[in-house]
Amino acid sequence: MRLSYNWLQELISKKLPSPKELANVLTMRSFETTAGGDKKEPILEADILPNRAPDCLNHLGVAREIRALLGGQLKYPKRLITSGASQNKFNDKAEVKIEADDLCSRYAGHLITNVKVAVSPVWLKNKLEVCGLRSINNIVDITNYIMLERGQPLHAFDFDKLSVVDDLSLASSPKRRIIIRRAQKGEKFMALDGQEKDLDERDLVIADVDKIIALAGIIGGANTEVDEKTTTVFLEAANFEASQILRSSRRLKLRTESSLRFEKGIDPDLTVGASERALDLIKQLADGQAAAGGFDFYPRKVAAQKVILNLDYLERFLGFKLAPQNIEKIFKALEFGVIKKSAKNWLVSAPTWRLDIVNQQDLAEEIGRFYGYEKLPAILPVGPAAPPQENEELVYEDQWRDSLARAGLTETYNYSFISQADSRLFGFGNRLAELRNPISADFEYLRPSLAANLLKNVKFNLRFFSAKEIKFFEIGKVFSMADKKLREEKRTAGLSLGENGFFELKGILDFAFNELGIGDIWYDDVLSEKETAIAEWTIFHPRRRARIKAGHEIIGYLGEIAPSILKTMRIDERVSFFDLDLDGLIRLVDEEKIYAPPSKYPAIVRDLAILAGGDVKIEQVLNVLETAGGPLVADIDLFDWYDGEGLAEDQKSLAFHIVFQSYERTLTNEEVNRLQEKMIKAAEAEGWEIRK
Amino acid sequence: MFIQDVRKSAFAELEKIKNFEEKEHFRARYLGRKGQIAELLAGLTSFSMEERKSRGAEINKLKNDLEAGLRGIEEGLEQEARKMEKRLDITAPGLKIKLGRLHILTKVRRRIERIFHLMGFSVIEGPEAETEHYSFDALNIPANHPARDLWDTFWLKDGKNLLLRPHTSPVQIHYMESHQPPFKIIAPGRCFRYEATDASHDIQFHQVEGLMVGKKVSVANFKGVLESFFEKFFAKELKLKLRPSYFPFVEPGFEVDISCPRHTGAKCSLCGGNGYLEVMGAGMVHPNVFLAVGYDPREWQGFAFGLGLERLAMIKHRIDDIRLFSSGDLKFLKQF
Repeated sequence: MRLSYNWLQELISKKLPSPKELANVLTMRSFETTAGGDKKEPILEADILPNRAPDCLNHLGVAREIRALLGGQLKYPKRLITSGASQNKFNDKAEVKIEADDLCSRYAGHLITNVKVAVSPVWLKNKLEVCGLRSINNIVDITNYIMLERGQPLHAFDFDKLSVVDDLSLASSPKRRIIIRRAQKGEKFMALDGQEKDLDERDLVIADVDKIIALAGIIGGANTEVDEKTTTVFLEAANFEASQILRSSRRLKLRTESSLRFEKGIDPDLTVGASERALDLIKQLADGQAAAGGFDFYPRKVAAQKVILNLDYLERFLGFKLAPQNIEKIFKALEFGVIKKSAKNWLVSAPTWRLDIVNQQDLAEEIGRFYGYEKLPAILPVGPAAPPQENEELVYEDQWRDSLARAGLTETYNYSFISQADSRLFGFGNRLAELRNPISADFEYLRPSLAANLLKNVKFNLRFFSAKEIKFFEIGKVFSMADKKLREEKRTAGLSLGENGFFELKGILDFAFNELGIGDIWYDDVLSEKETAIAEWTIFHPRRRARIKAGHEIIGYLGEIAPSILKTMRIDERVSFFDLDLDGLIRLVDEEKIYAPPSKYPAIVRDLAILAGGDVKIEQVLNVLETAGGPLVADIDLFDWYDGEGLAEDQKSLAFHIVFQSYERTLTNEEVNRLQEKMIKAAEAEGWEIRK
Repeated sequence: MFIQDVRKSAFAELEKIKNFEEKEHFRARYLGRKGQIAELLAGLTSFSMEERKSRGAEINKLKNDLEAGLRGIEEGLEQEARKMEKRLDITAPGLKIKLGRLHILTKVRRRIERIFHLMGFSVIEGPEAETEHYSFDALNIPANHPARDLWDTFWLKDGKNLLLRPHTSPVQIHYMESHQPPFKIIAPGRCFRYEATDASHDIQFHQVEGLMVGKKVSVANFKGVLESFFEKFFAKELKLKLRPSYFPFVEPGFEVDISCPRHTGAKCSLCGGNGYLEVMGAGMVHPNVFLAVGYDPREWQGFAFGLGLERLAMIKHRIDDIRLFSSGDLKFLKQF
C-alpha cells in the first residue's frame, strides 16, 4: 500500500523519524517498507502482509503500529460537527432489507440530503493523488479518503436514482428500499467503470426493488452513480464476508481498492467511526444534511479475542526468557489487554482490529517481533536426537551421477515441459499429461521422456561445439497418464554423438552399472509385438537399438535416435541415446562386491581371428569360444572388429586376445596349444573361418 | 702382465672418456667378458696357491676401483646430457582431460545436504505433481484463502485437480503423516510457478525444504541452525537477520536476510550496498499444520524453511540469470 508520510505525521503526536528510518523500522518489525516520493511529499510503499491487511491497509492502522513501535499519541480525527436535529428522518424515506445475512455481518446506512456535488478541495485531491487514487468529486473522494484513512470501504449511492417502492399504502411518502441479496442467474450488472458483468447466485449484490445497484464490497453500479446533479446520497458502510468477496471479485475479474480490503477481512466495528467521519466531511465540504437516524444491521457483535498465554511456553517457543514486565510493556504498546494474571498464565485480549490474533503462537509472534528478532540469541539445538538417516536411494542416485560424469557425460537440468510439436515428432501420443494453464506453446505438456529436451541441448550446442564435445546426461522426473492416472517416475538418460556413440554409451553404462555393483545386465534387440509401438522404442533407429535388461525385466533402452527425428531437428550427426528407469536401477544395487585375488601364476595370451557371417552376434562367438576353452580361459577380449571393405557383404572379421591362466600352476605351451586347437575346432564347427 | 701397469693405463684412459660410446668401449676393454680384468684372472692359474690369493685380491680391488671410477664418469656424462635436454615451456596449457561435469545445482544441493546432514538432518524426497490437499489445504491454505495468490500454480488436465507443486512444503506433510517427532529433515526438489520469466524468475526452480520438530525447538534454535548453515555454505562469518513475514503454514513467518558474504561497500553489486541479502522464507510451524497431520500442537513445536537452490548458487557464483540453469548451454555448464 502507498502511504503518505505527511498524512501519517498528522495522525501521530510524536515527530516521525525520516522516511527512510521509518521505513527501516517498519521493515524490521512489521512489514517490508520502502521510502520514496520527494522531499515535499514523501511516500512509503508498505508491503502489508496478508495477516496484517485487516488493520494496516490504511493510514490510521499504520500510525497505530508506528505509535506502538516509537511511542507518542495517536491523533484520531476529531468529530467536526455534532449532528443537529434534521427534519428529515431516515425511516421516512428509506428501508434496508438484509436477505443474505450469512454474507453480510454488518450493514450501516445513512441518508444525506441537500448535497452539493462539486470538485474536491485541493487538500483532499492531494491526499488521494499521493496515494495513487484519482479525484472524482467531493462525495466520492470523501468515501475514498476515509477508506485510506481507516480501512473501511464506503459507498455513496445517488438515492434519487433508486426506484420507489410501488406500494399504495406509502403513496403519500414514497420510500426507496435497499436490498442485500444474492444475484440471480442471468442478471446483468453495469459497473461504474463501464464494464458489464453477467452475475449469478454466487454473487452478492445491493439492489433496489427492481435492479442491481452495486456488486457488494467490490464496485458500485453505473445506474446509481453520484454525479453533479445528485442531491440526496445514501451512504453505505458495511462488512461483507471475506471469502465471498474474494471469490466474486476473482471470478468476475474485478479487483478494486474496496474488494482488496474486504477479501482479507476487516473489523466490523469500523463502520461507526467511518460513517460519522463521512457525515462530518459531507457536511463540511458538500453542505449535506444527515437525516435523523439511520440503519445498522449488526446481529452478532464481535468481541475482543481472548487468548491464554503461558509464560513457560513463550520462553520455550522463543528460546529466550523475557521479563514479565517487558512482555506487559509490549502488550500495552499494542493496545492488548492483560485481563487476568496468574504466575504462569495470562489472559490476554486483542483489540477487535487485530483479526490475525487467535492463539498464543500469534501472541508469541507479537512479543518476538516487538522485542526484536535480532536480539534473540542464536542457539544450536541440543538434546537427544537420533542420528540422521541416510537416504540410500539418493546416495546411489548421486553415485550414478558421479559415474556418468567421470565417464565424460555432462549433467544438464532441462525444463520438465515439452510442446505439442515435440510430442508429435517423438510420437509420445496420448499418454501425455497436459497442463490446464500452460505458460506458452513451448510448455504445454509434462515431459514423458527426457529425450526431447536433451536433443534440443544437442541442437543448441552444435552451434558452438564440435560433435565429439557434446555428451550429456540428465536425471529427472517424467510424467505420463495411464488409465486416467498420473504416473511420475524418475529416469536417467544420456547421449553421445558420432559413429561409435552406441558402444561408447554401452561402455559408459557398463562402467556405471559396475560402480553400483549391478551385475546381470544384458542387451536385447528381440522385441515383442506390444513393444514395437511404444515411443521409448520408436524414437530409435530400427536397426540400431537395444533393450537393457536385468533378468527378464526391461530397465531401459539404448540406441541411435531415429534418422527421421534427427532430420526434422536438423541435426546432421548420429546421436546415440540411453534412457533408464532410475528407481528400477537402484533396486538392483548390490554393494557386496567380492574381492577376487589375482592368480600367482603367469598368463599365456594367444590371438585368434575369426571370419563369421554378418548376422552372427559377437556374444554368440564368445560363448562358443568360452565353452570350448573351458575353465583355464581367464578372459577373452575382442580387440578388433571389421566388417567393411575387402570383406564380403555379409561377413565380419573378429580378432580376440585369449588369456589362459590357472590358479594352481604354471601352464605349459603344449597345454595351451591343445586348448586353442579345441576352440578353433569349435569355431569351425559353427561354419566360421579361422584367419591365420 | 703386471697388475700395476693395467691399473695405470686404465685410469689414464678413464680420465679421457668424453662420451657414452667411449665409456662402453672402455667397459668392454677392461671389464668385459674378454676384457683385461678377465684376462688377468685367467692368468692366475700359472701362479702358486699363495700368490694366487694375494694377486686375486689385488685384481678384485682393481675391478672394484674401475667400476667405481666408471660410475663417476657415467654420472658426469648423464649430467652433461641432461643439460643438453630441451627446456619445458611450463606455461603451455595442461592436456584436456575428458571428464564430464556435474550441474552446478547438483553441487550446490550436495553442499547443502552435507552441511545439514552433519547437523543431524535426514534427506527425503517427495513427488513433483501434487494434490491440492498436500500443496495447500494441509498447509493451512484452504481454498479461497487470499494467500493462495502467493503461489501461482500450474494445474494439470487430469480431472483430479492435480498440480505441479509451487513449493517443497508438501513434503513436510507427507513426512509428518508417516513419522513421529522429534526429527530433523530437509527435502530438496523441483518446484514450478506459473509466472513470467526474467533474469530472476523462471517457471521452474529448486528448493530445499527444512523442517525440525521437537518439544522445545525454538526461534533461537532456528537462528542457530540457519546461521551455522549459511556460515558454512559461504565459508564466512555471517549475520542472520529475521524480519516479519507471512506464510499461512507458519506463525510467525520470517523473511531471512544474511549479511552480504562479499560486501564491497556502498556500491556492492551483490547486495546493492545495503549490506544484507534476502535469502529465504521461514517460520515456526503453524498449529493448524500440526493438527492436519495429527500432532498435538501443545506438545510439539518447530521451524520450517525453504531455501532456493538457484538463489544460493547465484549469490555464491555470481550468476546473473536464473534461466542459465535450464539452458543446457555447455558454455555455462562447463564452468562448474
